[in-house]
Amino acid sequence: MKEYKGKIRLIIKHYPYRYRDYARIAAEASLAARDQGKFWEMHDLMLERSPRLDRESLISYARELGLDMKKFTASIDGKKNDKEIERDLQLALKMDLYNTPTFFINGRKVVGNRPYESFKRILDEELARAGK
Amino acid sequence: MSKGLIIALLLLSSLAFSAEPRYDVPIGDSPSMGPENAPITIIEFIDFQ
Amino acid sequence: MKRRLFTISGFMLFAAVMVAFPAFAGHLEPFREMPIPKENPQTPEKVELGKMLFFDRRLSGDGTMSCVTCHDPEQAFTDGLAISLSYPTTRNWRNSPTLINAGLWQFLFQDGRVRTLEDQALFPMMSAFEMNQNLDFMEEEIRAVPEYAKAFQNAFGGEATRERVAMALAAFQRTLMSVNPPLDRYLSGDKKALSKEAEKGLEIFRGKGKCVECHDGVLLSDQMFHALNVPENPELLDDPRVIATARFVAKLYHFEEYRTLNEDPGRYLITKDKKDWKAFRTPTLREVSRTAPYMHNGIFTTLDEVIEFFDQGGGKGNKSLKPLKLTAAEKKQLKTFLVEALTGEVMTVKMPSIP
Repeated sequence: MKEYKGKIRLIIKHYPYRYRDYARIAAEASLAARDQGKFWEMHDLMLERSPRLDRESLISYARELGLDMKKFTASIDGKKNDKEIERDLQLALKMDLYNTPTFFINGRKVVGNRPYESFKRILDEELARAGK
Repeated sequence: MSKGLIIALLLLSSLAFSAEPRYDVPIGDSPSMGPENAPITIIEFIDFQ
Repeated sequence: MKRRLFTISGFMLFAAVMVAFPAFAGHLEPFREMPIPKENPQTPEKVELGKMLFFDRRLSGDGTMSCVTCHDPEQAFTDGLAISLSYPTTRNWRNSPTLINAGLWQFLFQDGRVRTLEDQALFPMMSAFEMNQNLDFMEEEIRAVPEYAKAFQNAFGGEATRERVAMALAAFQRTLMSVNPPLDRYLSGDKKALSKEAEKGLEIFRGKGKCVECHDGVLLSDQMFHALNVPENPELLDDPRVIATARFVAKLYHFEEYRTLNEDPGRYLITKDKKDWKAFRTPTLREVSRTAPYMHNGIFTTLDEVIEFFDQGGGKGNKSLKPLKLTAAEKKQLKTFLVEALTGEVMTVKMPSIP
């Protein structure tokens, strides 16, 4: 995605699948890190280490990123950002999303982890369209 | 003649574009990166597990 | 020209098929109704249950995929990719076919390995590179959900079994069809249903283009298998994950040299008949404008490329096709026919609530 630097704005919404034990706590962890200004670092680290996303692992990732551990632990244990996750989840259900990841690229729905070329085609089409 | 054809083709391709549904997803205060006025906005629904 | 394909025994088979479906060979037929097997009658409860299962991620091993992953209602029941999506960390090797009018097929899958939707449904669930689910486990997962227990009771008068899961999925798929495309109205006598340009395209389809020799009947498919020597998809060559997929499938079908296989032998794996080497099922052309990319490996992105391929006489060394020498205008008319005549109303399938 490097070649599109400066041309893409990426927004993350949470859609934890309810039958995955750590999906929800991982979402909490990402927002706990966000509250300390390290959302994307946590995001990258969790995707890299997935599916090791149990509470202890998440705490060790937070330590790795140098977060304030007391605040982080309190945040995930107290489900501080639960409302925000629930809001995203309800939105996903309302939009009939049935799979993760689901992307909306300038509103165009793209489902699933696809080969880079498949994204590239859409991104190039959208850039061409915006350039008009 | 060829000019007419080109216009017809352009019309067709814009039709193809408009035929594809575009969803309006509220952004709100969700985590984001990249410039706010970027030509492409990607909203990703994610499950980390 | 098509006949060149066959050896004597192949020709006899062809003749037998001609006797079985005398009305279809070389002719287009309008869609009239979906045949329903008497072993699996349609009921609203069964169709609704099938729809739930179709969207349920429980059917895959790690809960990432459902049938919809590769057969998305918003993409004409395909996934819009050259090569179909696959189980995480694996790679598929073929294009995901549309499910529109799936109930009309007498051979399912691009290699035609099964004959009914009921027999087809469990394959992708079991396949290591598709949904990778264990069927014994899947049965227990479904049985453990009270909403499903009730739904199976209502639909079948009994508990969930893999056979009933397949029957419900098949029943749901028999509701998917191309809705009222212009070709059906035209074939039923409404000569105004097609534009002049599309009508000319139809003439080429039946005549100079020889398309109807294989794309006939209701599905616009002869439901047979032809080796056209479609170019290899470079996306697939040299990817160890794809090689693993090819060898895994070949191993399941007792292909002796599976350990050195680096390509897709198509129908040959099923029949072990030399004429089926790299032969694939003739695809339906209904809704074809919505089901790109094309061919068994998704090598062509547009219908123009497909028409060009056939105009050139197919792939290197194939014995089924000859160059057509269509003019630019004729190619355009043919494409207009394919897009205009075969595209029906958009069928919306709303996601049910999944317990």
